[in-house]
Formats: sequence, structure tokens, C-alpha cells
Amino acid sequence: MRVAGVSIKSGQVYVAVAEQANEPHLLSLPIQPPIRVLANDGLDQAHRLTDLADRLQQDFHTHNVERIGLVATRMHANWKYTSAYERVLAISAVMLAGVELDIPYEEIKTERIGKAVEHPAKDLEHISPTAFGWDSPPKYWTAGGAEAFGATVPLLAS
Amino acid sequence: MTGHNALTESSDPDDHTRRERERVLSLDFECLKSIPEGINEVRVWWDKLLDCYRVGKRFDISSLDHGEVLPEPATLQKIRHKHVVSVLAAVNVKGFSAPLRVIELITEYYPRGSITDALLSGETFTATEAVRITQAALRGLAELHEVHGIAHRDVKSGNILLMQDSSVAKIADLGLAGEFGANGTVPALENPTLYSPLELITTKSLTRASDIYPFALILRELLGGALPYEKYSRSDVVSRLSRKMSPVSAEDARLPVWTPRDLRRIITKTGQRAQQNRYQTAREMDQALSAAMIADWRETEPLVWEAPFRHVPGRQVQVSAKKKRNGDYVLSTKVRRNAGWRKNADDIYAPKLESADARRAFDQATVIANAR
Repeated sequence: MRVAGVSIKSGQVYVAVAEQANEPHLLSLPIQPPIRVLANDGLDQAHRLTDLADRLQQDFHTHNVERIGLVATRMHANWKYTSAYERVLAISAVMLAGVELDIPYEEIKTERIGKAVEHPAKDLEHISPTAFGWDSPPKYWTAGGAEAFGATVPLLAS
Repeated sequence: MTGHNALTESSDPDDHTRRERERVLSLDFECLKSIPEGINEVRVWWDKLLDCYRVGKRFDISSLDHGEVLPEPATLQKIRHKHVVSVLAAVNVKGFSAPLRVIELITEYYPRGSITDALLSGETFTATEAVRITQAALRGLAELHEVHGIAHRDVKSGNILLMQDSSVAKIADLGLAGEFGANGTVPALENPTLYSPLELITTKSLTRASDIYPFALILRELLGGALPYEKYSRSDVVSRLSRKMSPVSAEDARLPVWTPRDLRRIITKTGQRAQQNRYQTAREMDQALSAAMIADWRETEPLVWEAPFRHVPGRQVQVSAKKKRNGDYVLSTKVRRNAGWRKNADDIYAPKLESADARRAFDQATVIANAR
């Protein structure tokens, strides 16, 4: 089974696609390095949402993703409206893409990810890339890729 | 018509009686035709049984080398994507003597037609529309490449159909599509058009980047209007490709002066002669277009262009050019808020309207149009 872990940082969407690893030293087997999908700033708000959903849908479909897991935020208060708006727009796009493809979607708390990857929940951006088979951090690793890959582990385990 | 999932014989005696109001759609420009010889027709007719128009593209596949790499019609029929015109059926057309082998791919009819149809009827597109159409087509192409492992091999404006709904555009005509081999290449066909990459003639081996190359010219057409298609014969196209030149002259490929810098950069990368210097996947180009800073410039009167602010309703930016006695131009940038136009940046002097200095004035104004 292939799954997609998704993390959203500053309104930017990071997607990690992975499947079950056969090697015991790997947490999951990445299909490719993390990818970043940015909302198109030039479009009006409604088209910005549908365009982002369309592009995410394309990525999920291309990689035959069967489950999507979004890394839950650890910030539950003191949001600026614009930051909250960007995150909600990105989450909506991920949900829309999942619904269009009939792929189950869930939000995964960082504690659950931390437990699965045996790493502190509040420090997921520093998960070692070697746990996923990379000698050095791939592009976007600390920006959001590590957490996205972290989310693939409980998804595959459940 | 019989069969919907496989290549079948058109032996149904009712076949012709079901087709009403049948007509051939054609463009009389040699440089746009993928298959110049033999049978190469697009027909539209009224399907009385299903109460709708259908389109059938007939072509003689015996005229193509490497015909064996064409995907099975059953494969094409399985492709269902928002940005790909679905193949509903495929038939062997009877009545042609060997060695001719004429097949017809049946698809839905989209009345708005292709980008080429729109351009030839005088339709113009804003930069936003141009980008959205290109992205839609790229998403269709990504589906062919990444999900089905198929190269289109005939990407051109005439094969991108414009929609009247939110899907914006669909990539059409999979008649010359071919399956990528394990090394990610597919043999080229002998179908030179204005949109063909150099490798069609040189290595005769196509990759994903070969299907992306035509989007440089497609974007040019969307931004700057129709090309003088009548000027280019098939032999001109072949001759220029053989000399390792783009089929379209630099003069005709020139972008409007207002073309935003990000789009110029994307178009340049897309149209690189060396495959490895282009975008390697449709997704990569799609993402680049999503991040491009653009403004919707329109020439409101001679030498005056205006674009709306993208994030501030009601506000506009203007670039006007005045010709001086010595032949140079002075370009002024103004912004309209509530009261009227106000100068917003220093004037820029340019020897020609096509010069880098003139483009700089528009680049500066495009940044202003994107202010929040």
C-alpha cells in the first residue's frame, strides 16, 4: 500500500509518498524525496483553492496513493488570521483532492507520529533522514518533508 | 459504429445512416498538419442514437514508421482524466486498399474548438488565461506520461481543446501516441509540425521533455496571437529542423513586450534545444507556472497598456510609451487609485519597443500589479 503524509508549513504543502519498507532499519520506503506544492498566488481565492486541490490530486493519483495523513498542528491558539486562512485553505485542498480520488483522509497528531518514529513529537522536523534511507537530508527535509514522511509511518502501521 | 473497447471493423450497415450532418473539419495550413499524406481527416457528425455530436479522427497509420508502438485503442479508451479528451471508440475504416490502414478514433465533440481555432477566429487571452489553459493541458499530459506511460507525440495548439466549464482545457488526439520504453524514450514519428522539437529529426528518439517542448510555442500563441501559419510549408519546417533550428523564426516567436519576466523565463526553458535543459516533467512546468508572477496586460489604446492589480480590486497600473524625435521611446508607469492616474516609477528610455529596456518597464509594472 502507498500512503501520502502531508505537512503544511506557512501555507506551503509538503507531500511524502511512501510504502511499507521491507528493510528493518527503515521506517518506511520513500517513493521519491518530499515534494512541495505551493498555492498559486496569482489566482483569485476560489480558483487558488481548486487549483491547489487539482495539483495535489494529480500528485496523489500519479503515485497511486491509497491513504492520506495530515500532520496535525501543535499550535492551538494565537493564530494570525492570515496564517490560519492559509493553513485552512491548504487543508481544504488536501481534503478535496482526497475526496475526488476517493482516498481516505485523516489528521494525525504529532504525538502519534512521534511514538511511531520514536522521536520527540515536538521535534519531528529533525527526524533523521537515514531512517528513510537517505544519507543526507533531501530538499525540503527540515522545511516540512521530515514531518510528512513521519506521518507515513503510523499510516502504514494502522 | 461497433465496439467501444477495442479496435473493431466498421462493418455495421447502419454506420452511415446513424451519422447525420457529417462534415470534415480542417485547417488549411501545411505546417500544422501532423500527417500530410494519405487519409488525415477530422469529421464531426450528429449521432442520432445518442443525441449528440461526435468527432472521429481518421488517419492512415500505414504512412507512419514505428506504427507498432501505437498503444492499443483499448489502452487509450481507459484514460479518463479531466484534462484529456476521452477516446470513446476506435474502428478500422473499411474501403481502403492495402497497404493503407485507416483507423478512426471517436471522441466527444467540444464546440469551442482548439486553441488554434480560437486564435484564428481572433480570440485573445490574458496572461492568466494563457497560464490556466497551459496548466490544464500539462495536467492532461502528466496523466498520459506518469500514469499511463504514454507519449503524446503530437502536442500542438490544434490538439488542445478549450472547454466551457471549470476544466478549462483538455489535451486531445491520441492518434499518434506511443508507449515509453523502459529507458523512458519512444521512437519519433515522421510528423514534423511547427511545434516539433529538434530530436524529431536528429536522434529520432523522444522523451517526456519532447512533449513539453511545444508548450513554448503554445504559450507564445496564447500570449501573442496566431502565427503566420501560411508562411511555413512542411518542407520549411523539415529544413529548419535539419539545420538544428526551431521551426519558427525568431521574429515570429517573439513574445509581446509586456510578457512577464517569469513567463519569459519559463518559455525560454521550455523551448531549449537540448532536451536535458528543458523541464523534464509536465508537473515541473506546471509548478513553475503556478509560482509565476504575472499581470493581465491589455493595450487599451495605441502604445498604452493597462493591467488590474491582482490583489487590490479597482486599482490598475498603466504603462504608456511615447515616441521621441530621435526615435527612442519613453515608457511611463502610472497607477490609478480612486482619484486618477499617478506616476509611480521613474520613466524608462528604450531604443525600441521590443528592447530589454522596454521589457524592464513592464517587469517593474508587473511587480506593482502584484502588490497587496
